[in-house]
Amino acid sequence: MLSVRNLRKTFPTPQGPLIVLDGVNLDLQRGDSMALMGESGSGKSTLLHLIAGLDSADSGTILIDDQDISRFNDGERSRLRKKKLGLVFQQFNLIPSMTVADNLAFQARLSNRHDPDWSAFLAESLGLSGLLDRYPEQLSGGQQQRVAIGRTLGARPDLVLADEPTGNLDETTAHEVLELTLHLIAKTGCGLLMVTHSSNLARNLNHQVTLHRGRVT
Amino acid sequence: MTDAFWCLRALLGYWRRRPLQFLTLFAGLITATALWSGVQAINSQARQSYDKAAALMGGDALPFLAAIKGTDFPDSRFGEFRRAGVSVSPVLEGKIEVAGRTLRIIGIDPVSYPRDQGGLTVGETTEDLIRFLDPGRTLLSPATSTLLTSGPAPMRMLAEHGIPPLTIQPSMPDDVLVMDMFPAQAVLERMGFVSKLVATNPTALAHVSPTMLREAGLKIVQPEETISMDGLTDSFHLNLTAFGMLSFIVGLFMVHSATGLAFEQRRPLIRTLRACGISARKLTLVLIAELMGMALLGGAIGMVMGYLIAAALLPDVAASLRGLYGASIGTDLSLGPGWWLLGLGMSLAGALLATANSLHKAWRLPVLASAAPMTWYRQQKYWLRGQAMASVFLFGIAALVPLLFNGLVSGFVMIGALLLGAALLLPFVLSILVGIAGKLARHPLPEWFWADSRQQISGLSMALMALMLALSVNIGVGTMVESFRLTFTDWLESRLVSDLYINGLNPDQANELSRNLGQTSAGNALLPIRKVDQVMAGWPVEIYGFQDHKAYHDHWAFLQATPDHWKQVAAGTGVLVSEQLARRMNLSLNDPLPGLPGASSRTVTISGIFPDYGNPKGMIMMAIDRFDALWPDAPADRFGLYLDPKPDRQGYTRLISDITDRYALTPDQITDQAALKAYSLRIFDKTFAVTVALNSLTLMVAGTALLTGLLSLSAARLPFLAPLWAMGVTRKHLAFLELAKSLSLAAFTALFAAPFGLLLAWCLVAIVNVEAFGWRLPLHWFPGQWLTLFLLALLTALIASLYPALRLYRIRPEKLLKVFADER
Repeated sequence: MLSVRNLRKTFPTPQGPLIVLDGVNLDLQRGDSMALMGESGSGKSTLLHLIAGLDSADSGTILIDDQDISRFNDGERSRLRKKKLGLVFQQFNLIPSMTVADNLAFQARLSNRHDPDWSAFLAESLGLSGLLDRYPEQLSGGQQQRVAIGRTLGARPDLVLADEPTGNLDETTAHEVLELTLHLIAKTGCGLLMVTHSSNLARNLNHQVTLHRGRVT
Repeated sequence: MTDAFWCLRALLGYWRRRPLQFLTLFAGLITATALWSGVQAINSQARQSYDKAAALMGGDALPFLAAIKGTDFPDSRFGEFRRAGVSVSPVLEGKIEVAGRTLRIIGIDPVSYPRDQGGLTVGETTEDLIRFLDPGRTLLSPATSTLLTSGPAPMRMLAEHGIPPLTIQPSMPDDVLVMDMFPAQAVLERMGFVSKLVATNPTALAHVSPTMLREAGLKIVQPEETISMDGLTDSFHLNLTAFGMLSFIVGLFMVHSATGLAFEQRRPLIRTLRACGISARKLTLVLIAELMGMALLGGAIGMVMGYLIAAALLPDVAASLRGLYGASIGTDLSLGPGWWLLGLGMSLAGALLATANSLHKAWRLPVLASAAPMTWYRQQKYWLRGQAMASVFLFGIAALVPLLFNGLVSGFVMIGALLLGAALLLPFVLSILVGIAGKLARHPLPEWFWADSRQQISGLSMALMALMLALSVNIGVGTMVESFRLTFTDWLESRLVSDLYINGLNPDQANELSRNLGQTSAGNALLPIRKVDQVMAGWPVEIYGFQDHKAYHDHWAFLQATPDHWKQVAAGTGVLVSEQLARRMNLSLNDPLPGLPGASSRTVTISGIFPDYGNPKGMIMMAIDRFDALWPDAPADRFGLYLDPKPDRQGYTRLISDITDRYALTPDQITDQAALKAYSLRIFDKTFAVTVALNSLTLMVAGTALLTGLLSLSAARLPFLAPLWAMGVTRKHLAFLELAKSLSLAAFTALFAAPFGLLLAWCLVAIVNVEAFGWRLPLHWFPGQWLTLFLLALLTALIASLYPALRLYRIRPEKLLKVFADER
């Protein structure tokens, strides 16, 4: 469902263009999971942002369900994120003025796919059933990240893009959250592309890809 | 639509969590709309009244015949013209005083008056017409009726004047009484005279022969040649509009500040929404919808407040307009849907303008941009330079406008550019001043104090700019008003030459009084005064005839005069003109005076130009012989009584009582100089009551802006204060430092505002007053007033910062700890 070909991205700097991605190729099927690893500045997050349509590549193609999103305008990219993709960030980015229940249902409601039973199942699976009336600031970091994952999966995306989702959590909580995520992703049958620094966590995913100086090694 | 709804819900949730910021935004919207719409309500009410008055008897659409000399003329002319086939109707106009109020009396002929014009309805049936004639009816507006029937005194005075029974007619302007010609002539003591013959249709005078006009001593006056109250009062309404606009701008500053902060603090939310698939276009539309909803609600509340402000100020405004221009405006507000729509439209447009920058940023915001809300304050530093450059541009406009354009609007544009430029320059200057103070500091805490003050300037800049504008306007307008008061008081001393003023003496009585006075003291004199109202160069002018006397020589003040001006005037070859007439007609000393009826055979030149502060009309003084030759029919019953030596207060009272009893005068026919001075100063104070009220309101608005600015920033301040607390600075000390910071910024702002306030005073006196009223005041300085305003600015800042400081003083330690928890 995801096919990245010869992707190249540079950033302008006073010293000249900085090559961040240099001919990256990548494939991911529905139901598959892939860990994207590499040292800081290797281009992991940039690759994820390009796939999410948050930024534009200099050259190369990104095909999602055979559609080249690099040619999409802002509206089409927004529609793609709403209908097919789910994003999870290291900063949980919950909506502070909404309860846990509203946050969980938020993206599903945006994409007109809200299913109260599915939402309740996610809350139950993520251990959030007793916290539905609380606000994000009343939750711990691990709980907040579980809400963020639930929000993403609530809309039943085809592909989940996670940028160091456990980066703000301790090791035990990180493992718990990842296990839950993988369990739910298996349940929905969507793909998962996750940026992580942790090789321990990466081992739990089907594939591991390492980026070094903008290239897949 | 579903996604738009949920997006809007998420955005609105922000305000629920930050009620103070919401309050700032709302206060800004309400402030922007309230004073602006209040002022517009007053202007609209005044315009309605002017229109009603102008439309009466077709005054704004029908030509009429009037005496060439500007006086009343025999009513037999009506019959002559009707017999010649000219369709005209007679009208007599005059004024009477009832209960301290000047009422305009209009006598009409109910049979021939132009029925289709002016909303005046004598009646539809013959019975109505008969009733109007006998026992007679007086048509008047509901407000005038309320005034006249409010107590026994006015009713008694009406009966004394012989006013026919009152009948309310809603279409009538206030302070006008319309009645049949015969009772009107009796009331005004002008039996057998009319003021004009009004055409009953627009073309009725098209074929009147010039010979007939010449023989009758009449001329045709077209509607556009009549004096328009709109034009006369333009400057007054423009002044009110300027105040309304100032408040509107201050309100928009608050809106801009609140929405700017909200945008920066909502960056993470905006980023999340964009990541969840909301396009930039949809997000911007939702933000606009959110803003429009708030602007409508805030605007509606502002409109209601504007209505209340207008209702509260209207009596003072009406008194000012009556005192200054003799204009009557209704004091019961009646506002149409246009006013509401315009006010709400201003609120919406203003809100869009104030948030354009934030909306643009939301539209262009890269999804991956830093979500740190405090970036805004850092970015604002770059704006300071931009603002300083914009202020230089505005100062350039302020300098160029008076060189390139004339007129009142250009004066206001200049003031607007000057004040806006100063406001934009303020944060830049404050930043430099605080930076210098920081460099002079020698201990860590003062160093932190000034560095933190500098960082806070951008967050508080809008509120400080509002404070600066309010202070400048207060200093400027205050200096102008006080200069005016000082000049006016001196000028009254020179102008009120006689000790007593008497109306209503017949020639025999005048001779007898003059003889008696001469026997009492050789220095006493009864000085006759004549007066006619004329129109010269489309402007109302009062022409006075006076008898040459040393009283005038000793008192009368001049701006310019020829060496032998009194001799020239006494000889009838010279006249004295007021400053505003000289400016309006571009007259200088020794210029001939154009437009004087019958003067073409003998040249009359300008011998002196005198100040005539506060008079909206032009004024000419000429020798009484010359005057009588020109206007033999003018009333000759007005006198000034000059006493030498001056009696004491009891002597004055006795003399007034003697004259009143001897010549059967009513108390309002004799006025002493002291009462006249007190009355004039009362009118003066009334005139500026509205200005003083608006001045105070703008300062209150600035205080509110400062308070709401500090409150909305207080939460964002915690990350800056918590580290100091962690290092051992107590909460009490921190609260004190916050208070001191606001006070020092307010003090710098007040010092910065002072020179611009004085510059504003100069602009008002040297440009706006001259354009608006035709006279220029000498400018005086009032350091006491500046000191008061400086202290008031500190007090405003103290009140505004007291609550945020108290909140900081009482903040729970866990809240401060949370700052460090959030940083993890």
